[in-house]
Amino acid sequence: MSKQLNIPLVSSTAEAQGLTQTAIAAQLEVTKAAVSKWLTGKSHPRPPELLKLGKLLGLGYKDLTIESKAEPLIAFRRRASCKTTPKHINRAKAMGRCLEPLTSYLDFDPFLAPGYLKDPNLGYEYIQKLVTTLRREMNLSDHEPIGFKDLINKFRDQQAVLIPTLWGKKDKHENALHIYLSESKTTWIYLNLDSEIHDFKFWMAHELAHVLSVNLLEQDQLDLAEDFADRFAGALLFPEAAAKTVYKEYAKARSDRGRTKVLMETGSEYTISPNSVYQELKQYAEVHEQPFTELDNKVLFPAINQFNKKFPTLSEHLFDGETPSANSFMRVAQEQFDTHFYKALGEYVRKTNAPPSAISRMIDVPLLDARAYHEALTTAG
Amino acid sequence: MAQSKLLVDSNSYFRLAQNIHPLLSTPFGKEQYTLYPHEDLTFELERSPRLRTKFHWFMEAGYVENRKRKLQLGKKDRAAIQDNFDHIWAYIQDEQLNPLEVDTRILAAALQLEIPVVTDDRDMREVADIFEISWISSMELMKMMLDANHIDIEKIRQVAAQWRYENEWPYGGWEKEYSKLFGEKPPKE
Repeated sequence: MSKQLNIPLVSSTAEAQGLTQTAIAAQLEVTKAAVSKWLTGKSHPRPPELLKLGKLLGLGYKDLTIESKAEPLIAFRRRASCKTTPKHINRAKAMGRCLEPLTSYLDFDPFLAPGYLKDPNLGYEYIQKLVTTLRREMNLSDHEPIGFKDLINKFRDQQAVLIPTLWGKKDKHENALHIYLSESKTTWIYLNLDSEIHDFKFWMAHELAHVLSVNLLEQDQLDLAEDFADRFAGALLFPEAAAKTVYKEYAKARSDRGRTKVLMETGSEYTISPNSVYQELKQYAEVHEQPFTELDNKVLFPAINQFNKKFPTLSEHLFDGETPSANSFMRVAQEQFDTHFYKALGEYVRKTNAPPSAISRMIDVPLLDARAYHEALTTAG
Repeated sequence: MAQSKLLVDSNSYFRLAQNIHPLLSTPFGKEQYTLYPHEDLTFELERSPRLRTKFHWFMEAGYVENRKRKLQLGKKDRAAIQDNFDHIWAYIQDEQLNPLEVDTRILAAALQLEIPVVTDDRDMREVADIFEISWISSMELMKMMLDANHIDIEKIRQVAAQWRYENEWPYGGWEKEYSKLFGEKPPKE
């Protein structure tokens, strides 16, 4: 991409700091004529000179140069205990930029773009109606648990690219990452398979909400997008009708132990976290003005931890607790998630001779891991 | 005499450290060349079960101890390194170059501290050249060690044999450079 020096900003900053062209030249150890050429657009500083100029003026690369491309849009799932920092966002944007060349290798409908929601909002009734409609499209009743395949098919319908990864166990919000590239109108969703199996389903439903409400990301309504995605996920996995039935059992329970038992059993039945069940019951009671006995966090969270310990992570489940080879990982990812990401990546790597470092940046794995992927992809063709 | 510091990237570390031990913080030669790792070295390994299996020796006490001494960086240096990183990383993304974030952090540090990087990564070298950061390869490092009688040719043969055995080449055509530097062909295994 050809870049231009942001001459108005550079000139005004230099002037504000009392730096003449001669002074700049002296500091940067270049000739005054060179600086003059930069500031009249006749030439562009070389990278080391631009870096020094930025340091001298206190300007970053993005300020010094004029940006022309649209930036990738990012959605991180928020967690109370974890802030999304600019570092997280920049890293995700960098990954997004790397994905752009892959778009021409995707096998989606070349003519039709998927639809999105007209007016995504946080109203309980609105979200319940929405999830009922989606469940009908999936041929599911209000009481039936949603399977992973149901969600995967929906992603496929929405032309979203799933990227299963093995990022190790993460406590924070790094188990899923949503990137939307507005130029190619493509959505890319990273899913960390090293997640607890019950949380994983929630992450998927959460990401599906972002796909359906991409307009919120485009309008930079990130808080609303996150709140909507959380509420949508809870409702889709455990809708009002199911909450109504389980609420009765929960209300009947006479002790915290009895109440957590209801949450655990329902979580098991629906393959969702007991916490999701709890939140949906609480919301149901609130909307319908029913009494609700809250559980102390000291009771609820240890019970959820115990519950999670009984189940393997998704990757342990898929690979029998072994670390898979790159080949076996990509094969299983493709089969289980109906994703053509690794196929597209393979075609891209073979056609462009992209090095392992390109893979490392796209899927955020260490270079030595990326080499294993690279070898598997280049020998597969 | 003051040390001449060198910053080693993770791949070069993995290629050399098992056989040339202790690799780090051990001055050699008249110039007192001393290798230091980057802070992200351990982080790289911790996030990959595959790497932990492959480089099982990494967590052995002797190696852990040897990695303990890090470059001492003051506040001013850290801030300048971060500025360098932000700039170089943005440039890399703009130009769609291939070095990784972790590699860029090494380059940013090397630029600020004006010390060479030991790397075999051609993408990293490309950016190092663009920003006028000096670098040497793992083999050039071994040659410096050999010339300073820090290691002998047997040790170098042992390292090269392991590269061959593990399919862990520094880059295509490394054998040619090996022959040029050491005056003999690399061992078979």
